[in-house]
Amino acid sequence: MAEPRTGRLVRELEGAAVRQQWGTITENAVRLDRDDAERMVEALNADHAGAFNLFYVLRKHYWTAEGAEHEDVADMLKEQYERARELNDDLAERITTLGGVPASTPPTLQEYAPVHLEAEHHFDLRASLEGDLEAYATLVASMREHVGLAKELGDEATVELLQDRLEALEDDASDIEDFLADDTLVEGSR
Amino acid sequence: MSAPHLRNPGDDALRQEWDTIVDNELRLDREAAARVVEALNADLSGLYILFNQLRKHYWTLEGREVRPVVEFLENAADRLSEATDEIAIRVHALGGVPVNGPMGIRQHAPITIEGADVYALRPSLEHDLEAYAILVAQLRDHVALAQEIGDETTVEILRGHLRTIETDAHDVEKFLADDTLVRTDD
Repeated sequence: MAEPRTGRLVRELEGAAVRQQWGTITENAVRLDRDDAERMVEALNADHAGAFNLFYVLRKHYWTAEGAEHEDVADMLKEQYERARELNDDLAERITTLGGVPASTPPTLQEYAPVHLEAEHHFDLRASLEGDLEAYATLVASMREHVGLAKELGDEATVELLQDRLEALEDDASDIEDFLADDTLVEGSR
Repeated sequence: MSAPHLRNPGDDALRQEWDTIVDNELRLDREAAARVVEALNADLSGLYILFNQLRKHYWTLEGREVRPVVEFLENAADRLSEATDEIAIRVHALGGVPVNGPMGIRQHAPITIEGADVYALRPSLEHDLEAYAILVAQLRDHVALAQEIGDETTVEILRGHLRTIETDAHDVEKFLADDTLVRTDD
């Protein structure tokens, strides 16, 4: 059955023309000079990869919370992982608009992501939600810092995008906090 | 693949280790459940890889006059995501731990992951079609396996998604047959 793979899992697409190499910047249509765009893309790739990992941990916890019939928590996590995916998409789109390439492979994503994935076991709901909260806090801190950078570079559209999404992230984090304050979760199910 | 730092809440919070199976409440014996879990985890790994490949393609195609392709890929990714959720929840119900990270994806991967460079549109879509074909064949095998074991719920879940995924594969094929895509765009 499933033998653990030993070869390289990430492969270049053989024979295909490369339109843009990972890690490069092309001229962009938004009149930001190339050095500035490069700094912004570098910063946004961290937020993008962070949103990617946030999406995955929320979704993992949704799967197991759903199965355990913690309906309210499962519903919340489903909505939240969908928002994390949208954020991930929007950041990727902004990166391409600035002339960059969004991270898309496990090595590039994990190199950039300030938010860590969880070990692949199943952990109890409380520990899982605590991890989610930490992931939100990490991503919020990173994006807040990048609002500052975008302002410094005069990239107003990025400022707007990040600020808008920060508000939603903070709301989602606070909803998780409310669940953690709930007695039934404090008791634990073990 | 580099070994990323993984957050580990520790043994006190551990409910079930990766790659193990516990008794289920579905009256499927543990051995039969283990075979289905193994199969479904391979589907989850493939769905994960293709989902991210489609996303990569719509991210990097954005704004290049290929609106219908981008829209299709976004919606197709949504459909893969729905299949992933349902199958992962089924694995959990069967007493397994669904594939949820780099180790499990690698262990079960039916397809490889596309490199980080941005490729031309046509080879990108060809790569999507190839991944769809492998995934469809695998899902079909797993319907047969679940049937043999008598796990009707899994049969039902896989069949529903198989039809959707086959339709999407066919749509990718149609994009590739389209004249505007046959000509190279740069």
